[in-house]
Amino acid sequence: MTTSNAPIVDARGLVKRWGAVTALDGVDLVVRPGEVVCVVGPSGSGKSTLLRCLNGLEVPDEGEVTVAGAVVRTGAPGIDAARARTGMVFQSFHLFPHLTALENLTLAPRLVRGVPGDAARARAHGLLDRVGLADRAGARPDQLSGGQKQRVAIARALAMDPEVLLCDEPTSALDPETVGEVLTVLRDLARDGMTMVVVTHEMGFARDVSSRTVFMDAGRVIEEGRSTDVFSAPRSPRLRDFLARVLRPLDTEVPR
Amino acid sequence: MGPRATTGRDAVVRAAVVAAIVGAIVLAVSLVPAEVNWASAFERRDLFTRGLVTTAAISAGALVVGLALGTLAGLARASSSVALDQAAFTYVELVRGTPFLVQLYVLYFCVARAAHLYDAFGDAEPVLVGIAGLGLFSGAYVAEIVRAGVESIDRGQWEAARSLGLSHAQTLRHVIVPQAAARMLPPLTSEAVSLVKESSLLSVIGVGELTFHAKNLSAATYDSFAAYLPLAVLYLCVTLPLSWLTRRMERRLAPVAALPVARL
Ligand SMILES: Nc1ncnc2c1ncn2[C@@H]1O[C@H](COP(=O)(O)OP(=O)(O)OP(=O)(O)O)[C@@H](O)[C@H]1O
Ligand SMILES: [Mg+2]
Repeated sequence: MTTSNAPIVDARGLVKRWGAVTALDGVDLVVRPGEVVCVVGPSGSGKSTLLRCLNGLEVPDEGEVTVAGAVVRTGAPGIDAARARTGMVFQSFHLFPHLTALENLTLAPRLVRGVPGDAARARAHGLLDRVGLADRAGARPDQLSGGQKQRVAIARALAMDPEVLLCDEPTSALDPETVGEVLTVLRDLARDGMTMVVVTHEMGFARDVSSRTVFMDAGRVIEEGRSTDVFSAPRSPRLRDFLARVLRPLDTEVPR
Repeated sequence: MGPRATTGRDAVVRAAVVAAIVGAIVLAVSLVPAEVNWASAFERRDLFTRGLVTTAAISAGALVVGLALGTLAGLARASSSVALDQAAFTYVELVRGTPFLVQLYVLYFCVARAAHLYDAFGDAEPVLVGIAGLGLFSGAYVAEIVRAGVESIDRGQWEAARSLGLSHAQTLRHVIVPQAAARMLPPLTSEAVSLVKESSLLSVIGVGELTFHAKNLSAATYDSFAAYLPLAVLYLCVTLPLSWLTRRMERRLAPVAALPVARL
């Protein structure tokens, strides 16, 4: 673990436009070692765009991102190494379907870090064990359930020893009964001190597991603070409105 | 065409239709006023055999050249280098924008002449030019198949690999191409069928393949029927099994809408 309290993620003044749409409208985000930050907000508020800017999958029009002190700049030399320091977990897993669960975990350490096969496999077995899938090492992604796939995807990201784990709605594509197993893995990682930024619609997870919650709307951070405060005493009307809607999903209007 | 359950009755209907079409062709041939001299063609059957062997050998050689060139060009089109992409694109457009016959004339009567290839290769010159030309031609179509195969792989695969720190080239080689390869097999096989058929054009530069020998036979016996009908049947003997193989693979693999038919 990093002992200093220097930020792991330091994003300043991020602006990202898609034609007329401004997905990010001047966003700052600082994440310190061991912090778990949840990003919540309505659909289209720019949560995914923010996360994708953090590892250079998206290039901001303005602003700058540093991860562990190194600037993330797409196209610049060293971007691959910078990306390797940020683990990314996607909503729809994106496991490599032609590889086994174990090979999904060993590919990047071997290619990017030059870890020898035996060492990579030994570590991969350990990580699969950590996400509760020690017995599925030889399985192909299409033989795994959604929850199992996402746990493999988390282990795959961890295999690169990232400084920070970025998760974009990691449970949104899952059947309700498998959401819990993935959230449990993420919670345990948080307890072990992993630095994380999690975009989620799971308000219970945000409130109980994350140290800080960031509420975004229309490309801006509207409110942020300790998760307990944000959920128990939201200050802005927009956040109050948002929470009222997502915490009582039965009231959601169904379009006719 | 939508999926259709195959029943035993369907198979009988299909067989009957094929039999009727073949029968009609045979009948039409038998109605030809002049007597067809099958015997003289049969006497010279070794011409057909030699032609078939040459056609197979040249097609195989050109296929190897085409696959190598096409894979390189297809990957260049998918590479992160603008220069490589443009070079490959230019090659593909030049080849696809001109008839193969014209390319063959240019290669044989202009390029090979100007480079004095005959002095170097002697009588093997037409065959070598033929293999190179057919390979060059086929490579452009293979390149498009490779490019389409690469593009058919979900963007999420790129993002997952890049977010793990893999470079563009590593992602192509270890993540994208292994998945795209299976999808490319059916169109590549149908490209092989096209290639076998196009090899018939090599007769115009004097390559001793199947069509070349049939032409000579027709000239020697004054009997076009006995020369060209067996010729068509022999091509079918090569192409029908390949086409069957393509359809079998297509049924086994998930269909990819993005992949073009090899040649339209
Ligand atoms: N590749 C793109 N091209 C064009 N517009 C885009 C693109 N990606 C995002 N946008 C737009 O940017 C805005 C922010 O999108 P983003 O995906 O970041 O929102 P989000 O908060 O993650 O939403 P959701 O909860 O639905 O995932 C939206 O208006 C979206 O339509
Ligand atoms: Mg999103």
